[in-house]
Amino acid sequence: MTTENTTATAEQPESPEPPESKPSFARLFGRYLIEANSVMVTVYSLLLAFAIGAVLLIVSDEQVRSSYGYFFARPSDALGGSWNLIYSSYMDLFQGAILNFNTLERFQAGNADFGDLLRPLSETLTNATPLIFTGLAVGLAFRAGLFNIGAQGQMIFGMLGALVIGFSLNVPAIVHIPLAILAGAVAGGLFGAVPGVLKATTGAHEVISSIMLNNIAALFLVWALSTKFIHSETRSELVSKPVRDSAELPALLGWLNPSLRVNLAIVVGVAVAVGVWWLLTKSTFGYRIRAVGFNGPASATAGMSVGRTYATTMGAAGALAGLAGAALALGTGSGGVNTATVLEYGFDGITVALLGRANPAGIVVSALLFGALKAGALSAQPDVPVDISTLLQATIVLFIAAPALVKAILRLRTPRGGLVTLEAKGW
Amino acid sequence: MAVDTATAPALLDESAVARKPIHGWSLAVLGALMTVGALTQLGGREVLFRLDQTSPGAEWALPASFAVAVLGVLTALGGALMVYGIQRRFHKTVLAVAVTCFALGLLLWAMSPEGVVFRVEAILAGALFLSMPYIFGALSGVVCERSGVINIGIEGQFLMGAFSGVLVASISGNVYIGIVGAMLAGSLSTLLLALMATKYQVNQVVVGVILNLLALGLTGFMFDQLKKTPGYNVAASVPVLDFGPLAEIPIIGPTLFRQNLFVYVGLALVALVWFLLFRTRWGLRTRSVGEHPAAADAMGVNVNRLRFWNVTAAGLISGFGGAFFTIANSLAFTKNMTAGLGFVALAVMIVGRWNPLGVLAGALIFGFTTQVSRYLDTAGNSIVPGEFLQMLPYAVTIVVVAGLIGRAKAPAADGVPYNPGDK
Amino acid sequence: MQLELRGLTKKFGSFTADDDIDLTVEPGQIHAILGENGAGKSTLMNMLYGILRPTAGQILVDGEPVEFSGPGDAIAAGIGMVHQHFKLVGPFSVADNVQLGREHTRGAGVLSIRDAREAVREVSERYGLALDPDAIVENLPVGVQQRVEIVKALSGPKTELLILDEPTAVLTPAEITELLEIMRSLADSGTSILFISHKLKEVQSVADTVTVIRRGKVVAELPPTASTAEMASAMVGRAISLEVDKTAAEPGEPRLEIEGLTVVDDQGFKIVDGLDLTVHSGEIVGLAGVEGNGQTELARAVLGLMKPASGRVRLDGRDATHEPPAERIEQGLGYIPEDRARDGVITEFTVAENIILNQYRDRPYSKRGVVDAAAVRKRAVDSIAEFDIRTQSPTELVASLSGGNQQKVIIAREFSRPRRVLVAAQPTRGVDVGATEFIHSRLITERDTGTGVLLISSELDEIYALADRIAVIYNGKIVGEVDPDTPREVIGRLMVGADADAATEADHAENDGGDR
Repeated sequence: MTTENTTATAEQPESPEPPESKPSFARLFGRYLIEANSVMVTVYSLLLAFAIGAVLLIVSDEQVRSSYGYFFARPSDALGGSWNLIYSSYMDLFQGAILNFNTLERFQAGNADFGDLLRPLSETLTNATPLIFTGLAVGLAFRAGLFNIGAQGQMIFGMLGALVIGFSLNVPAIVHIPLAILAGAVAGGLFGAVPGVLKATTGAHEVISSIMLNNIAALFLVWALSTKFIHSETRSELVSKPVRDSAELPALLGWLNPSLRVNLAIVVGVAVAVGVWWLLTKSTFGYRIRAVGFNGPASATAGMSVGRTYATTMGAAGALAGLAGAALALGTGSGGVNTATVLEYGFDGITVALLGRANPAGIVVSALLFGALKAGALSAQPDVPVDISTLLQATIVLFIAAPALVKAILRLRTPRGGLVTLEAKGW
Repeated sequence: MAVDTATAPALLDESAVARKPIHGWSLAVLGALMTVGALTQLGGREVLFRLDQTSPGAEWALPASFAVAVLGVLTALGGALMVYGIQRRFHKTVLAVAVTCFALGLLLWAMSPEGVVFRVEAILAGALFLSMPYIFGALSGVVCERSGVINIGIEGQFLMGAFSGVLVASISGNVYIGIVGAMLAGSLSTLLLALMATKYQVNQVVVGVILNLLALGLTGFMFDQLKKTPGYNVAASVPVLDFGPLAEIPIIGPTLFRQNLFVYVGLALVALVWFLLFRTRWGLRTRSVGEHPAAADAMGVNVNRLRFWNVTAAGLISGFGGAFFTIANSLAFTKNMTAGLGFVALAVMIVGRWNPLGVLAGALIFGFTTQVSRYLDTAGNSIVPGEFLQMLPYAVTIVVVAGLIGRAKAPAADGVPYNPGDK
Repeated sequence: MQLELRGLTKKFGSFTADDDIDLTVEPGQIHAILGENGAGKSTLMNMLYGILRPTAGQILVDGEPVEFSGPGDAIAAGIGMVHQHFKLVGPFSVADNVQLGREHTRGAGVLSIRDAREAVREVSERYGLALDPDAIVENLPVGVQQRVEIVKALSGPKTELLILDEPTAVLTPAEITELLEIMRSLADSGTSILFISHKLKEVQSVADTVTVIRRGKVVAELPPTASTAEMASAMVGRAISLEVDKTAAEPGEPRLEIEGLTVVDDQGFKIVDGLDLTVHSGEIVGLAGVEGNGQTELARAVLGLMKPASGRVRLDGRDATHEPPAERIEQGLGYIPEDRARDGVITEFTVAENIILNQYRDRPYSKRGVVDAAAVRKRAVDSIAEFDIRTQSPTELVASLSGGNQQKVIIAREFSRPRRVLVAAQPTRGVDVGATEFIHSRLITERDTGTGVLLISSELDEIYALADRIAVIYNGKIVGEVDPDTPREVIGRLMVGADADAATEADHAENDGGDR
């Protein structure tokens, strides 16, 4: 299962365009917009998903729905109400993720400082940070033909690893932070390697084994939090000890306003993304990952060990997801983690990687987008259900996975070279 | 004629003596550990069996140390045989017996602490009840995969069914309409899968995972949205059918004749799907489409149309299974309440070798495991933390999928899209 | 039934697979269609059978124009097809395979096993094709599986025309003889037969009329009395010779020694069964045999992709039985896999990336785990020139190359590094004539530089053209090692594992069939 493959579908390219004398830029651009190329498919997937989200908002809202009961008597009620609902919901998301207009007014009036204005953006970046790591964890495995849906569990073990080093060691920050991060990567990596090793030795499908390991990890977290070693000494609820100050990741904008949570981890995330890009395109390990991902039998015939590639790639992917856990334990959760700290960042990694088409740059951009969605949804609840972020993400990648569907719905043209679609292979 | 004898490669001699040192040594060591543990740790303890539903007071006690030690010795003996070398044809039997002995030993050990009683009837009846989601999910998987489409989205169909079942039952005030709603919701999810798998030929595993996320997001979203107004998420239940005197037969009475409606539907469905698959025209065509679609196509079977409708229909079954979580348990919907059991159902399908009867056997084993772990968890006094007991079905799934207890062969064209233009 | 094609044309995008084909099959006639691989024969048959829709032209059955929107329509019109790759469901019984698509039911869609069994018996008795209706197809030998295909095709409501697409490709010489007899008797009983083949001798021996197609066009209509030379030149368009210039071999020390090798598949079958074979430096050993007798597994075991259950593989005198493939490749084992698309190239990789596929970790292509793009590119440019790979640039994806050029990429990969042993499995399969000649001459050069070459081929012509010694494999064993001047008949008999008794029978059959 390699990520992408250009398939010339049954639809043949339309008859060749008559030779024109240099079409104008506007024409070319216009044609680009109505073509199902990967950029436009992405754009339209987003739009379609938000449209579907809007419909769901309407049907699930008691008041607006009832106004459709007397639609013909007073259509303005239904239409106006729907519009208001959609506008206010999506505006809530926007204000929670990018810029809050209330704060802007207060800022202009001098009642808020610049830091307050940046808070939504800081939250977006904070939420994007674990998504970069888990997106890379899914994306890297994708390139080896592996579908790693175990990022959630790997992240949990990474979080526990970083947490334990974070509160148990007493060393200066310059040693402590790297060590704790490393512990997270190692713990996530070891846990992540399990499905890879199982696939290599027994052929067990990584999707099933990694989802089972997710469940096991979630239960393990509950148990671990209850042990004397990890459980908080001061609080009675299910929460861990805080990490020491020396292990805490410094906030990037703390000097501006202490409530801005975005921390060093996002810098690490972008650096790691660059590293993964380098690994995939320049290193022999990356060459092997891609070879095995595209064609396992041919790679084996050329002397590569497919099984070892599966195991090491899953280990590396687990380490990346483990970094997400470390970022949580040492960053936003440094005061003590609980079962809610991890949210669904691991599962979101799947959608991030699919939207980013398993490409590190694409993953960073997708992580920012979905981070914004998450930040918006978290701040807009309970007016807007928080799961709107999962819903929108899943809808978006459903369309991304099936460009032919987008093309059919919107009657787009086939681009030159065919549609880029997820390649279908059996297991 | 020379041709008849032409090419039949020699089969490995099944009566030849062969060794399986890795399996053998692991079993031998585990068995020995269990024996030593039983003799040193379990002295004086007893396992109490009780039939308190049909014959109150009927009770037997088994000396734990002795029983577990015997099972441990049997396990070790099986392992030793495999190390020493036995005829190839006996390998599976010996392995199965040894593993069963070990599992029974563990079970008795877990039941041995003071105050824990093995309530035979409650546990068996509960095991059958808890095997239902596995049966529904795995049967849905069987129908899809026999047609050549991987349905990894059972979990999502469960969620859709669980949510819609309660929702529709709450709105209509009729639990049976609710169940129909659950089935349709499950089918809606597989309809998308069918469309993606046949018309757009997208990777079915990827679509399945996305559909799970979509179901998680959709049900979570609607749950939050609808809880703003009461009356949409009201627990409903179906009756328990009691067959009167039959239900009073010790052990099998409460298990088979005093069960929730879902249990009878599930068992009937096993028989029905088996009959349809192996005794009807539809079944023959479905299996041919999953094994060798080009062959079916050449005989005029419309492969993608059959796959489309089969997968869509399979959603009715998994949607019904979704209703189990809410309606059969008389519960209201909560977010992600299916807790990964849809994936366990997939493992059950593999254990059952894509055959409804096998699915029944596999589901019963998993149901029993789940029931015992829950029982021990609530009975307290357990040596193992409850979280680890709850991990049991998931761990068993990994063991199954890894083929550590023998490998199964999937339908040959499972997951491979069919494009009539290709040859 | 009389079948007529008028101007039948099929285009795939800008590529024309079949161009304005006219032909007529008379009732009770065996009409052969002769053409090279890729000449458009299979496309033509798929149109006839409703699998593909013609771009233009007409199909007429008994003078009436028909349109098929699927195989069901063709079956209803009385056309049955025996596919080159059997369309049989392996785990099904013979009866279930035959009834698929037109099931015998007891109403309400419930199958009647008894009726299905009866129907198979009836057809197989009528045409003298012995079959057990309850046998599971995947357990049957290939020749019997084909009989199931024929019975299936004849079981249509009123099958009057049978299409046989390359039916002899997977059969032993004796099975071929038998099939040709069956075809003759079917035609005599009034069934029209369309017989697609690229094997001249079979066509000559059985056909009533021969239509030759080349590059999608009908180029000749010949009587069966036409000479093979005449047919061959019509088929390929120019005189070609499979003769390869070569000197006598000068075998040296043993390079590849296979001793008592046994390979077992996952169902417990011994696919390779105690096989012994030695290849010396400076010689080409041709491994002849009907496909599926263990050649694939033998090659994979030599490379190390399959673990032998017992026996030894020695490369260059050292015991390599437990070495991983990478180690064997490193030590000079070259390998041309039989399934190019599956094992040979990574089509999503560029030409350059494919050329270094088994050397990517070696200097100069990489240093300390980092790929040196410039060195890779330089190597690719050199190889493209040396091996005449037709590509726009080293960064072109292999997917866009023709089959022959993909094969040249593999040849370039294997032939530009030092090697001691070369295993070449079906090296010219699906490759055009020009590329075949090129690959053959490279294999000879390879031998002359002292490499030990094991050539595995199901084309006896290729074996004769190249081999210095011929080993025949049957049922996973070498059943004979002979000189290349051994007559075809003898090798043919060895290929079916004939002992003394069966050899006489085979000889007898050959004389009857007149397949000389």
